[in-house]
Amino acid sequence: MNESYNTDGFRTESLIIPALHERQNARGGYLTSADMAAVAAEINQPLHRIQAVVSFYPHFRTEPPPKACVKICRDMACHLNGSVSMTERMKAWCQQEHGAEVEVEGVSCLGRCDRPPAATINDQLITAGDEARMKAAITSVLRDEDPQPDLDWDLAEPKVGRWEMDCYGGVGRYDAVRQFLAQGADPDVVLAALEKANLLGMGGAGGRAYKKWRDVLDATSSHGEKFIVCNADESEPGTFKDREILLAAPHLTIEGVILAGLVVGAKRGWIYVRHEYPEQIERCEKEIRRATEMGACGRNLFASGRDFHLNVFPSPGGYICGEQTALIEAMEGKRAEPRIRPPELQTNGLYQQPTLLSNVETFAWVPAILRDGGEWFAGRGLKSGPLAGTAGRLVKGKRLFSVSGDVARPGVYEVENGTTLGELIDVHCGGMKDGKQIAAVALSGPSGGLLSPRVPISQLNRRFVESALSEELSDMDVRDLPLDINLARAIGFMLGAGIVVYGTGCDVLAEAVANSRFYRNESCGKCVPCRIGSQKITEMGEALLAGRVSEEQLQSFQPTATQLGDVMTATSICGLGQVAAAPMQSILKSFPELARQACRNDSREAEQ
Amino acid sequence: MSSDAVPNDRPMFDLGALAEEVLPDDEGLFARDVDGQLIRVEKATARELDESLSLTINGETLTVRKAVPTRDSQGNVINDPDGAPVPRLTTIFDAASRAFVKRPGDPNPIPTLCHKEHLPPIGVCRVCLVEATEETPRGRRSRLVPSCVQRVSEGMIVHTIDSPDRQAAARVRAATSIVVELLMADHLPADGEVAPGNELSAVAHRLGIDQSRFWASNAHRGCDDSSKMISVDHEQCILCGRCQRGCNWVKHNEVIGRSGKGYQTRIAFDLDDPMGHSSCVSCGECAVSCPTGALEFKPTFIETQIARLRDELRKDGQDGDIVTADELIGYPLFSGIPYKFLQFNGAAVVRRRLEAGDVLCREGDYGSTAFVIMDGEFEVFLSGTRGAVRNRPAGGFFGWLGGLKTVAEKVGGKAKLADVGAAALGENERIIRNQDDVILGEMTCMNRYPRSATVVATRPGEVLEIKRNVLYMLQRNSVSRQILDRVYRERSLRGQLSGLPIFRSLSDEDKLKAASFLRDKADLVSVDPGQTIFRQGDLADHYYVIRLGFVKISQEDGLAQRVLNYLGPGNGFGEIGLLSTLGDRWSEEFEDLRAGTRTATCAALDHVELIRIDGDDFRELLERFPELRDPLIREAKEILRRDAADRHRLQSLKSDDFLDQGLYLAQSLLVLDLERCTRCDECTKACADTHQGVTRLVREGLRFDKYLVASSCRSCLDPYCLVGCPVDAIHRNGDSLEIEIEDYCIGCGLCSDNCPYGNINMHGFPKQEVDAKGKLRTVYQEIDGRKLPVVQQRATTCDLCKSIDGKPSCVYACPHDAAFRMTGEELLRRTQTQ
Repeated sequence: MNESYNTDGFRTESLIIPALHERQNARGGYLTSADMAAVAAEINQPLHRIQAVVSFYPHFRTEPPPKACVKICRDMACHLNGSVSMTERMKAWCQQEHGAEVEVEGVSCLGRCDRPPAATINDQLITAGDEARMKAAITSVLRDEDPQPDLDWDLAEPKVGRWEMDCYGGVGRYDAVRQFLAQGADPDVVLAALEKANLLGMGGAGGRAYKKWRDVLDATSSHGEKFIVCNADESEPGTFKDREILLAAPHLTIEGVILAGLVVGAKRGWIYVRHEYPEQIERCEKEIRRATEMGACGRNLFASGRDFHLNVFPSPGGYICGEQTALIEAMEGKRAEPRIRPPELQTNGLYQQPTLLSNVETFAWVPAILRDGGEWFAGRGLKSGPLAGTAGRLVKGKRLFSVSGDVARPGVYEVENGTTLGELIDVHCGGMKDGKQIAAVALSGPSGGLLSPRVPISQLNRRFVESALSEELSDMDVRDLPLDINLARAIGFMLGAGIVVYGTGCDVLAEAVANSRFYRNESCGKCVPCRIGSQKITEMGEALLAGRVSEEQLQSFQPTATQLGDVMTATSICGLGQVAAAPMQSILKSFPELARQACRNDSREAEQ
Repeated sequence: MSSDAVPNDRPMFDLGALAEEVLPDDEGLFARDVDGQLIRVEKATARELDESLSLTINGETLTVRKAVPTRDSQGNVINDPDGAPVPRLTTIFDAASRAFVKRPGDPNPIPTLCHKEHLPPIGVCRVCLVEATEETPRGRRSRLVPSCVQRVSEGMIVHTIDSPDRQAAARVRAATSIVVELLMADHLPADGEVAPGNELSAVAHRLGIDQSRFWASNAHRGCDDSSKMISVDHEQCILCGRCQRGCNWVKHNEVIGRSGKGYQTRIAFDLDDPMGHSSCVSCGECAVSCPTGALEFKPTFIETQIARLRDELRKDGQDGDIVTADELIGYPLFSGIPYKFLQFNGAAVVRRRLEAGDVLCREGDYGSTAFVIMDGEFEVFLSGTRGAVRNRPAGGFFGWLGGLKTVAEKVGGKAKLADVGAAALGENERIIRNQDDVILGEMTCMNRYPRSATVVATRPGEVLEIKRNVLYMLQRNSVSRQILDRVYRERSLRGQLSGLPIFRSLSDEDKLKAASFLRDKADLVSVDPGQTIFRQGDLADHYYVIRLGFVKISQEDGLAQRVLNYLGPGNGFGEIGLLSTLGDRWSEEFEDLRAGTRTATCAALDHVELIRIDGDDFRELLERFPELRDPLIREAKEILRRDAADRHRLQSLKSDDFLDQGLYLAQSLLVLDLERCTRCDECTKACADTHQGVTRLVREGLRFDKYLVASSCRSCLDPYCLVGCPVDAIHRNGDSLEIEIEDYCIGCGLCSDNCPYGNINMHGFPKQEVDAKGKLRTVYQEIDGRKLPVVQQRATTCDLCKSIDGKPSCVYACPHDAAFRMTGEELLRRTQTQ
């Protein structure tokens, strides 16, 4: 096999992406075949590996870029706010006014769901969906003038020092690192605090943090190296909390990563940031420099003799990179195709060495937990409430939710676990927008499907219904669902960090089909159930939406789609394929009337 | 119920117990060991080949090894250079193969598409799903897992689509069916025209699926027709990655990858170049690997191959028709070989019809083919009178190296011929009668030795003449191998054994008895070139007899390795190590030896077929035939004494280079006498002038005394360069010495890599093609607006060209009489007499 190693002892394969990145910048935003061949020769890799990488990541282009490249988000809140039709209008306008100088395309969620529809022009953010503003910005770019982009900082600034998570009140002091090193650097002290706090992974899976740290601590490495990777590739539609953490309190995440390194015995770490977050990349790099100057990062931390080197790794793009094993593949310079597990990353991670990979927020809670103790964190969380009941004692801690869609004040909110959806909307988000009612809710981006305002108990965990429901009910109010990951599992719904609320008047079926397209578009293509299944189920949704399915056909269509969805869940390699059918399945399960109604519609125009 | 209606202080549900038992479950099955520790997966170790665990598949409890040996595409174990199998961790699929595939050709209870046992598993098609159950401290967990990737673990319970647990089988079948239907919707040709060997349609058939429930794809993925040899139909490509692994992992060509992402993903060559313009060397591995019609040999390619062969046959005045893949696959002997491999080697099998008196092959000829007897009767002649061919210490250089040269020996009677080894030639027989599936000429075909006998048809008959690639496949493929071994055992094993040199002291009757005794106890094994059979100092456990090929016997003496002998077909080896354990009386005779250990290392020099006899059976043989002992001991002692004497002599000869540099194999060295040579380079110029301006010799090389051995083809007795050519473009013809490279060389560079002496060079030539009018023309391409010829790499080597006086040009051109052509033996003699 073609394996060569660089001076750090890593395979030179991992240099493919940085080398291509450099060439692309030098060429002016694209790569020629000669560039690619030169990279192949430079790092001694076959041409097909270069092609595999260039063609996989949206960051790389093989054609010269137009003068203005406009990308408009087509997912969830942006879709709900007409971004798709807006894209069509912008395309037509640009074609007419500027021809080939401007390229307009729809892209997957940009992570600015709180200011929909979101767009970028040459990677500069333009939000708030005003077409006139967009046209003006494009014109400015074409004239080499400043398009006056929007900044994430505008939203993040008011949060500096406001979160309970930020135990430093806005400026990191790295006390937890200092204290850990000063007090004997005993991993067990940190692990005990994390266990007491019952800190769970905030990236979606909700695994117990102390356990993961313990696994990496216990794992053996073949050449003595272990690694820490912070997953800041926040790409799940509707989710943008990490975007704010990395601006308002990057010191928390960075300190959490350094601590993790010290605890498990890693000397190197990376923060893997999605490339649509340039402000965050800059902010993290700045904070790492500050920490290094303080002695909390780099060599000889606080004169302890221990080292920890931290870097930012900008993602070459794509939702799939957020999948933990795919992210590691990307860092190794390969296509971000998820690995088959086991083995887990804790034993066979980056370069097959033990690797602790966690979400930005999981790391960010660590300094506060170490300062105020595990009990403090465990003490947070609503111990009572309509659904918490006797499970209240299990509800621990706080977390950040990103809320968008038809609420009055979309944004990032730090709330106690166990808060109900109703309270989140009414108390924190200022209620529904324009007095609308809830038509549908997505509680985990698109991955949990859409819930109807009244959730039939037939869709909930049967054991929960049998053992826990005290009265005969046919359904329950979606607003009563407690936002806690353990309770969510027990009750039988999916809970993530991105909550999108759809108000009355929206076309729920169209929204579900858009969500289904998202997974189809973002599938890496590695395994069959996801690659072909996500296409087929999206085609089914589009046919239904276009009124091309008769009620009679729906009879056979429904079981096929349901079975396909179940098989995708059971057999796909990674989480993407496992949930890719959820949007359409939830229509058939939660909104059967909408499906039947769609059959009666005459050819409704399917949007693209 | 609404939030307003429920007072906040009244708990409605008792969730406590439930929430505690529903723990986050983000780990795969079997991620942890019994102690709850995550299992780190590392490379399998040799120790794991012997460690076992048990699991249950379809209700049967099986004990399997933790690791299995890595195998090649024909099911043969791949060994490292030390002869040890390369282990890999046992998967569920491996375990099922072990348990349910009793004979080659039996179906595995698990269907697969992206998996082949000789490739590293990638688990992407999800057709090999099984339901696996793990007992964890928190209870049982079951999940569908890809059996090709999932490693076995203690106590695992597995159900396949054929499980007697009907419900489990139905769950697996339902999931597998959906996956197969997805593939069918997108990748089976819409017109239902499926080529033979399409594994997707076979899997669908096995699962009883007539039609996919999903709408057919309307994605137009396109075709690539740019390669002369292989057509690419992206519509049929299921992205199983078998071509990719075949190209990069099996052949190390590194041409095929994946391009694009998600539903748009396709296989791609280099930078997504058309296949015909990529660095593809057309080795054919991708097409042979492809389970569907996505990569197929073009009919035109196959026709061209056949047409070329037909022309050749006509030129040579031979008759015979070309046997197509479709016909071959119908013969049981060929039925286990991949259809596309037979297609690829479309011109590799010719049917020859012989009349009485027709010569099938002639002693002393070189050739690259073997013959499968279909029908007829043949007589075997040896040079001079009837005799046997035996490796006998020949005089001169070869005398002290041991008998390498195959010389005819008049011993009357038995024909112990490597080339007719499989034929049942009994005592005083030389007629082969009606023995179908018997192969003649293996030795010449596999190892390129001259034909050792002349075979003449005595009545009309029919044989299939097969080329090396096909013979290799026959010997390797488990189905074919089984047929060949059965035939060999039935017909000629006893005859071969009875002629063993160690039986010389027995009466003819006892020879047969002894052979009968051993026959049923013998194993038939293949050894790859270079592989060690046993090592000096190893425990002696077997006695071996060579059927085919040559075995090198060497001893480690300090740091240096000395070759003691080369043994050819018909010889046995390994008896000394066994003799030294035969009780006190015996071991006393060998006082210098550690009892029961090997005194030398034996390794295969080329492709070797062995008869292996267990040490205990060998000892029992000596018990039964006590008259064997004394001569054996005498001979063994003689060998050991000679070895010791040789050791001293060799050291004084300082001829290590002769062995190390392979000069003993050389039949035509280009030797320059440096006392006469003025370095004028006329030899190099003459070579270039003769060969389109490209020299095939380099005036550099090893020095022996005043002689320089220049870098130029040596016409080795055992030319390594001929091994493995994917298109069979390099060979030795007839009885001439030179290595010939045909102009259909595809430039893959394998022969150049194989030549240990750097005497084959790759050169770029303008690519030429036959145009519609049948004329050769150069192929051009446009680069940056300029028309440039397409450059194609081709291998070149010395063709021993003849100049005016019959000498090669280089020798003829030397104005100083300093250039000579001679054998290795001759050179040694010259340096020794200096």
